Amino acid sequence: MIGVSIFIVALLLLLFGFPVAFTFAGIGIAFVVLFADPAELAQIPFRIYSNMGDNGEGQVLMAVPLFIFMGLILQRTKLAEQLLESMGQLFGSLRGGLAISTILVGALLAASTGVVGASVVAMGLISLPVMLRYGYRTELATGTIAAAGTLGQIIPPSIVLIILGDVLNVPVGDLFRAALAPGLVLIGAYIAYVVIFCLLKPEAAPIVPTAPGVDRTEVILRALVAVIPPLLLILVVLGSIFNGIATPTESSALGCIGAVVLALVYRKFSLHMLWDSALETVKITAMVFAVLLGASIFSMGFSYTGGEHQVEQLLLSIPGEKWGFLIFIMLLITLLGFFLDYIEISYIVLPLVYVVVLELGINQVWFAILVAMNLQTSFLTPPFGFALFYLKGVAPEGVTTAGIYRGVVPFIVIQLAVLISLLAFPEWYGMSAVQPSAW
Amino acid sequence: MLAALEHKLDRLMDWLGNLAAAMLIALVIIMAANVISRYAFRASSLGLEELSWHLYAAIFLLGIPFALRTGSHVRVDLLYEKFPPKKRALIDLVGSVVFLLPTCLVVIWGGWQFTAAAYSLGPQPDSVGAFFSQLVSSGIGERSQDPGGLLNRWIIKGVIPLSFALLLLASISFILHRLNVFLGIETPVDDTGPHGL
Amino acid sequence: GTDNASTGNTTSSAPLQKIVLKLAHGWPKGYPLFGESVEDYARLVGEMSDGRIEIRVDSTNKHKSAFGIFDFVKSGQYDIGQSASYYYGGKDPDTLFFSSMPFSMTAIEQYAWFYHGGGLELANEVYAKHNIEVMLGGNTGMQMGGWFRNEINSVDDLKGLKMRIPGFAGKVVAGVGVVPTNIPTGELYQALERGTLDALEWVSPGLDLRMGFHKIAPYYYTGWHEPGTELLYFFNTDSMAKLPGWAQSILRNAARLTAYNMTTAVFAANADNWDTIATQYPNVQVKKFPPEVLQALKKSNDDLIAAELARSPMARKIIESRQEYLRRARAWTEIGEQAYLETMRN
Ligand code: NA
Ligand code: NA
Repeated sequence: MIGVSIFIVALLLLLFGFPVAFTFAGIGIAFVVLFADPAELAQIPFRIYSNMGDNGEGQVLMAVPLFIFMGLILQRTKLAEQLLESMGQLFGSLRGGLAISTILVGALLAASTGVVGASVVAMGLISLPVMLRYGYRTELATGTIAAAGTLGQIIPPSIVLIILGDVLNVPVGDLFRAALAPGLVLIGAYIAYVVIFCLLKPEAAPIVPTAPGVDRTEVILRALVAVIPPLLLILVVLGSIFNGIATPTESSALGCIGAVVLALVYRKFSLHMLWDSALETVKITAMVFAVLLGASIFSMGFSYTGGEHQVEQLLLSIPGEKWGFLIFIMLLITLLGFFLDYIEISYIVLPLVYVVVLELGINQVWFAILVAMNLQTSFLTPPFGFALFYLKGVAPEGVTTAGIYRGVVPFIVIQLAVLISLLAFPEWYGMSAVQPSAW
Repeated sequence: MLAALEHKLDRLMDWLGNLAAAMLIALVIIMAANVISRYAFRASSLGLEELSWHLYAAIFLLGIPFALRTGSHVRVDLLYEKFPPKKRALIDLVGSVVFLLPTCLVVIWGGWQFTAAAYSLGPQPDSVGAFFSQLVSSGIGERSQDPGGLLNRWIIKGVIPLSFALLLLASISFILHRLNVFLGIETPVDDTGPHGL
Repeated sequence: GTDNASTGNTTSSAPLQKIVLKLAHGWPKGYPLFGESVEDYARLVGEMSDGRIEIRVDSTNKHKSAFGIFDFVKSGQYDIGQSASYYYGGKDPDTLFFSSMPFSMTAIEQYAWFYHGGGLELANEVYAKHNIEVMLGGNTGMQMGGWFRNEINSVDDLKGLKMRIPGFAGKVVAGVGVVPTNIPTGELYQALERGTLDALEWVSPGLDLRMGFHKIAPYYYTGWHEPGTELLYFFNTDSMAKLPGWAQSILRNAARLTAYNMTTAVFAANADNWDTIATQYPNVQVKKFPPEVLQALKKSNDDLIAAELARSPMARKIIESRQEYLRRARAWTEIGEQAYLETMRN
């Protein structure tokens, strides 16, 4: 039970409040020393190096600093605020306009990166201060951002779909296409939730006020003028990917240049602003990567002491009938998602169930999308949901871990509801539960 | 004297942060230039592509000690936010000894071997002069194997132990400050995680 | 681990003590063909030793380092490794020649060179410097020239072409004006679909089909740059020396058998998947590069080889051995298999 007990130890020790990254790393090291071979600690630099970018793989994480930088420039120059306020005003007397705008901007960012850390942090920087300033309830604001930030996981491009394609032997292009409908449904469900929530609790989401004496048409015109340039920036980033000019990772560098150009056009550029944003980017990037590296050392403590083997044993008890199997696997992944990160889950669980998926004639693409949605939820589930750590790391004072945990609960419920609908009615999403004859 | 040491270490970390910030700006420019030259002129340099990931890796690695100095590493504050300053200082002191310092030592030890393995491959320079001339001509040890790729892989690999050695230094200042808070000599700064956003 | 517990120093006190060895390979767990063959190796060693040798196999899912196998085995972190030699050309350029070279030997020709033409001895001479003993690990057979979005009719069509093609072959195509572009594996599909890349090479139908490139780049060119890529087993010399003779023999001979098994398994997968392409994907157009293009690539390759000959005496020794063997082996291939294939066609 050593492998699994590491989670209980981590849960207790994290509560003391020492930085997450070093708590994770320290526990991982202690477990390897106590229950495995201490000489294996020499493999840690190899794990760090695999995130650095030699031979390509770690390079996709370059989107993290670049997205944060872009987000900070937009934030410091108030361009982000202007974008969200204007979008909020467009909603007029409908409450929750800022939250809905956040979801829409989050969806656009999701379409330009596959790295959840990048979009959660960027959204946290851009829209959390604005929502809080307009008196939004903290839970609504943080929940919306965490959920919108993890959309990057299901909306292509997506690292998790790439990994699933590899593990489940499906072309990644097929997965990207199949993920689109569930992603859109998820966006719709988030928005519906915000609208209903704000109808029930109007005080949680104040209306964005407009200047007195300005009529509605003028508000709309002004808002459109303010909205277009930042949206244009995001569309340029997306466009560079779709037109084959840049890879998603490279496009985030173009996004930074675009943000600087916008700042210049709006006469909000200064070297001081640029340097300040860069310095802040370094801090936040370091926070995100310290968590990633800490978690990587922590996972050594899990897998090197037999944890992987224990999960494998558990999988031997999989039911051999299609629906029993699917429900079992979905529950197992949800459960593991509370503690393990999505990469570990994909690599530990999926190679073992892959054969069963084939034997039962389950459509691999459908199965992969189910898993991807489930793993997206794992970013949001306390205690170890990475999106929650990242958001906490960039949140202003007064936003607590507990508040973030509470805020995300309704969105987890939405995720699970959409997941269940995809499980029960794949045809709603243009998919089939059974394996097509040739793909 | 210890206060002077704490101050010196903090200045070093601030300098490190500025270095990483400069690297970030260079990274953006190089990546954008590479995209434009590849798309517009159908020319691209694998050397520049490699330089981008070198910069990116150095940014997050060197940023880690800087972020410790600025209190930017995220905490679970379910209980921590309710603790008085002395108790927080105590948690940080114990946490440093149990989690942070061992992590630094392990990564410095392993990272040193990792770097040495890359450095010690192939012909080795036998003097300081030979070191510098080989560094810029054929490179020392492991190199990229792609056309136009970079030499001297040990440099970027060496940033791993370097950054954790610097993290060790940052921890000393971190610990000294908490010790003073715990003993009631100083008032706490920067230990709740906000960073002026 | 080189302590007794993990490598099992069985000769002294307890003759029936189980020998436990750690193996790292450079593929994800259960990766078709390459990863599967390592699992087969571990099983085979277990069977041949009647359970007295246990090999614990770690994939990249566990150690996270696809290109760290050389370092792992050299330093004794792992007793055994399985990987491709040419991944380590940046560490020791002489290791480049033990996978495959452009315009060089086919799988069977290269096997003859390794086992009967002094190739394996040369490989071990190179790897001995790194405290590693090598055995052959299996061959991919003929690799395809890659997936192209557009047809290549002249050398001009290659100029400015953005292609993912790593390593030595990347240098060869760079010599005729191709722009070798490194893109992370996960972003390859989208890059090719969107035209960020114009072309890429992967392996051959057995492994290419699962990547889905056929849906976005219809021109599938026949091979020239990797006519038969061999994987190697790495053994840490110290770990090996501690083992009794029978155990060493099992480890080496099981590798030899595994190499054969993998080579035939890849051939079978290529045949199956090629059949799928031929019967179910009418849009895929198999092309050969025009002679003019191949001439230019050959010229670029010759220039690079000339530079390699001058680089070190060891490189010269290996290249000359390969060239001499290729000349002899190819003469027989032409009169043997090639003549037969031509006979069959008529
Ligand atoms: Na995405
Ligand atoms: Na290849």
